[in-house]
Amino acid sequence: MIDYPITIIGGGHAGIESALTSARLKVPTLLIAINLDTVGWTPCNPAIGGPGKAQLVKEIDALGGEMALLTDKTFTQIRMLNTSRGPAVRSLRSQIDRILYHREAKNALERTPQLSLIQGEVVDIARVKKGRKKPLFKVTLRDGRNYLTQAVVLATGTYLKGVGRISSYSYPSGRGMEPPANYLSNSLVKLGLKIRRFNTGTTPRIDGRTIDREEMSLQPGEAGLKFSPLTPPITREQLPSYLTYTTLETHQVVREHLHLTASRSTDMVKVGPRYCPSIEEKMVWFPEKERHPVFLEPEGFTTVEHYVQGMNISLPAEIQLKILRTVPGMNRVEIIRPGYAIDYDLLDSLQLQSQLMVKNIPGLFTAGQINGTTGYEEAACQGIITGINSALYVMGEEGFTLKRDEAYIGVLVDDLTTKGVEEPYRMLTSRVEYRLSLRQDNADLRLTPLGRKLGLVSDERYEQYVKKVREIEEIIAFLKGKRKRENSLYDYLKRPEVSIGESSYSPAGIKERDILTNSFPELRRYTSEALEEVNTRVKYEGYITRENKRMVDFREMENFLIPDLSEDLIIPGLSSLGASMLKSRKPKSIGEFLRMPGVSPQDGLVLLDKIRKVKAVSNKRL
Amino acid sequence: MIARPDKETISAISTPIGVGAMGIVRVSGPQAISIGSRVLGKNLSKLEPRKALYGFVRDPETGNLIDEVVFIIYHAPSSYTGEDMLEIFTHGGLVAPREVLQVLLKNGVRLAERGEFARRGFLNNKMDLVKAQGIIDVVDARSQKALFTSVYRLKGEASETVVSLKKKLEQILVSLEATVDFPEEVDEEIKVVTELYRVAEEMELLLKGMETSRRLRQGLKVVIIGKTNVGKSSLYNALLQEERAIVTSIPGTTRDVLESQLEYQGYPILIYDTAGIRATSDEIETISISRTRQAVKGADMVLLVIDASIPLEEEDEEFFYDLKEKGGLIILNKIDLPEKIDRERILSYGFSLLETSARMGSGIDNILIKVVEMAFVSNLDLMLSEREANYLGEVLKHIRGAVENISTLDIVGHHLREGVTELRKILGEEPIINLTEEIFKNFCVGK
Ligand SMILES: Nc1nc2c(ncn2[C@@H]2O[C@H](COP(=O)(O)OP(=O)(O)OP(=O)(O)O)[C@@H](O)[C@H]2O)c(=O)[nH]1
Ligand SMILES: [Mg+2]
Repeated sequence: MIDYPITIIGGGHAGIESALTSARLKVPTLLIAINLDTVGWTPCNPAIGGPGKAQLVKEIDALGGEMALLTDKTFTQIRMLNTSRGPAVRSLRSQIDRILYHREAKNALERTPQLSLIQGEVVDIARVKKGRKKPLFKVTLRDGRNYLTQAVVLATGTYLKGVGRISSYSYPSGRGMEPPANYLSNSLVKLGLKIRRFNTGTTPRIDGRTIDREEMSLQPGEAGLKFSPLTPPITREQLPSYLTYTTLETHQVVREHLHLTASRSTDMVKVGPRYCPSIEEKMVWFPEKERHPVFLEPEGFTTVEHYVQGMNISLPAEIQLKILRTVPGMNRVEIIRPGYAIDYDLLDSLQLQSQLMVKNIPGLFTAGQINGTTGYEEAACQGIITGINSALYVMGEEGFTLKRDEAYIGVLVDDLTTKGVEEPYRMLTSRVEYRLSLRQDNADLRLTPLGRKLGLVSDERYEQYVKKVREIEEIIAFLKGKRKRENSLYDYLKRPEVSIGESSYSPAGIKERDILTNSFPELRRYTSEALEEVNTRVKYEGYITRENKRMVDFREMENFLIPDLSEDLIIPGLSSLGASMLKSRKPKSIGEFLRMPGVSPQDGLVLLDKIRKVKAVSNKRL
Repeated sequence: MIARPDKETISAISTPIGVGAMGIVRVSGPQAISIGSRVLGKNLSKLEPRKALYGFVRDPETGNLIDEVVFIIYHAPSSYTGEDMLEIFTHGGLVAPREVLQVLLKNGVRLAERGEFARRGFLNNKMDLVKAQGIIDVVDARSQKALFTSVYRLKGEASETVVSLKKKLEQILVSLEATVDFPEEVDEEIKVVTELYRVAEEMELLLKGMETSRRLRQGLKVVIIGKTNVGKSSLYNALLQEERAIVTSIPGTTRDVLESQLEYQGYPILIYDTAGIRATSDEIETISISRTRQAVKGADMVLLVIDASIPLEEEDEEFFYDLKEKGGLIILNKIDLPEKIDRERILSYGFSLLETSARMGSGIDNILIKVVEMAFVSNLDLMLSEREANYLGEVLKHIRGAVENISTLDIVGHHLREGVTELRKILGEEPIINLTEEIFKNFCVGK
């Protein structure tokens, strides 16, 4: 007897979104967390958003996910980055209250019908066939409980055989100081999965009462911002963060103790994220830099603990203190929790297909850090994908994929599953080919209809979407109908000095702005989101059209599907690399095949030709 | 959802440039018929397909006649590519097919990539692989073969210039991307802007080199001008070492513009003989004169022939304007005869003088040496193919686009990415730069 059709292992950001999503699709779902008191924890920086990541959060929201809502409820600070650099790179970034975020996340899980929570450590996942078409999995906990399920979503974060390290001292660890999941990793090997190992690290947490704020520069939040259109306006007080810089003395102390860093004093694996180097690595990789920025970020409304952004470190605790005290404003600082490095097991993401299901284990899905990504947002967006696809799988329906020209999520998943990752993967706007079209501000326009079709978008959200679409159409019709000078107002808006509303994007250095809502008060009845969208669409029209043309070519290749070619088939003319990619990675489409490393355009043509011939033969047989 | 427009319409010259009596320009894609209608000035959708039709290609903007052509319309799917297609048969030679292509490019078609017609045909089930590969010599610059051909073609300074331009653009792009992806730790905006301006300037210089390269591909147009009977046709024949033009002692012998090709030390030169100009009411001569004017307009430089055996006349001096505008040389001809010309007066205008006797064939080599020196002088020995020159033209467009949008980094980023991609194509490299890799290599983005 099946206990739950879907079982999710892990209560981090991937697990949460996956569980909420499949339960919302009305498939009974079980979420197993190793510690329910840390569900939705943010063990590293208590921040959500930033370039690349904000776009993911908005996309999760547009599909009916939870992260944006949780963030809006709990942020201590929110800002817009890249404001004057164009709408395509504008990105929200927030600091959240860690405790509140956890509470809200847990509450969201508890409020959701069809979703059950239990606490326990999973030690084994086994396939049980019993003559069924779809295999079942038996998930066993350390305390002996076990559950029969149709689909498993692995969202275990850094728990798999995690080892925390401060210099040469090491201890088995999940996130923070929690216990790791040691048995599960072995069980995955038994299932035939390929395991790899990465490392990452975090910074010390310090006592906010021991810093001198006047020696640092203040970074306040901005009023009037939020992630989700569903969130009502927010008026709560925000907490500032502080910026200071390392000094030559800081660097001196770090250099003197380099040999004590975890990666040098132990056998820790050295595959860490390069965009988040430890202070030790900064000394080695960028020796010429005279100072590095250090941000002090509050961990919440009700705690004095601060995160020391930029000070990722695994030197002995007393050296950490010595180093921090060389930084202006921190001369009398006290550390509450030292920084540490952690290494952990993960899966090779090339084993997955584009729905994040393991290619040769139907029913087994993986999401989040276990797939080689870092970041809460990266994890959460995979959770949405596994949530949708595990549910569709159980219901026997066709899977759901987002493409590179539809969403940042599509780019991330495609990168994981066709290119693979060599280091912890972080989302960046520069990874996105169609960046001008895929913006945080139109995530709802792009994805909400898809979410609605799947059954994830509430009436309230959908009505908002419909209203925005209608307003956009009305505004455009209005602009096209009105004349200004010799042009329509629509064309007039293309001029750099003209913008639609007071807060609209306008390039830096323009002195006399002409704001349309001033001269045409009729426009004031529309929401600023709709006005903004029109502003961007009109001003970027030529560029967006160009990107759309590219998308057509891209789609053409994506839509050439590769049928199941028999294993031992030899295709003459295919390069050896092309042949090996085809065999080992089983691409779904010619487009996917062409993106694989080492595959040449000729390989694409050879394969197309082969497919066509195979089809011709099978047509004749019919 | 985002609208899905049709595929782009592409075009290319399908005959080797300068070879054969005819040029073929192919257009393929959903807009082939409509764009064709525009440049041919008639509604092609109403005309019979698969039939050779006669017409004129004009620049719709200016109304200027480009070429008298024969064209064939094909409707999808019964064409070589499976799409709507237009084949335009132009006059042969170096100029006509290229100008027809330019007009098409101006009216919304995109230059086809290497092998793109064949690829489209292949994708639309129009040919099998063997045939397609026969046609696609190099499908994509990523292939080994393309790498070799492009490296082979782009040698010496030219490739160095392109490589260094690419490096600079890539650096700017990486700085920009690091800035927008890590705005709290990296701020290279000022550097991006100043470097971009610098590269834009360099690029304009490179353009001059491209002019040289155009001349190398198409031939330098040198037009012989001067009043009647000064020995223009004699000089024309002497330069060609062949009795091509009629020479008589009757003023007004040459009535039409004559064109010939010659090569001097590997430099292609197109030489034109024209009718001499004088005050006249003769109808034929009026037409001749307008043809001469036309030829001068298209010239890269002029050779103004002056008879040294008679005094300088106003009719000679009228040509000084053309010489000033187009650049070129004054040829003092008939120096075998006693000299009556006022050299001082000519020199006072600041023109260079060369002496010849077209009849004796003396001084001819000096003219060619000087012409080549003046026209091809460039420290950039760019040997660009038509396609490469077009890619560079695209790069320039993107650099200008970036400069025009300098205060909007996402647009600048778009142009830089595209520009870098074009440069990578010229060099036969993987078209997409791995930005993530470069950002991490160059910037400490450790938060
Ligand atoms: N002595 C001498 N006679 C020359 C020389 N070059 C040309 N002539 C003579 O000048 C006359 C005119 O020569 P063309 O070459 O026909 O002159 P043109 O400028 O082409 O004349 P139009 O075509 O009538 O404008 C002919 O009789 C030539 O033989 C020269 O260098 N020396
Ligand atoms: Mg003559």
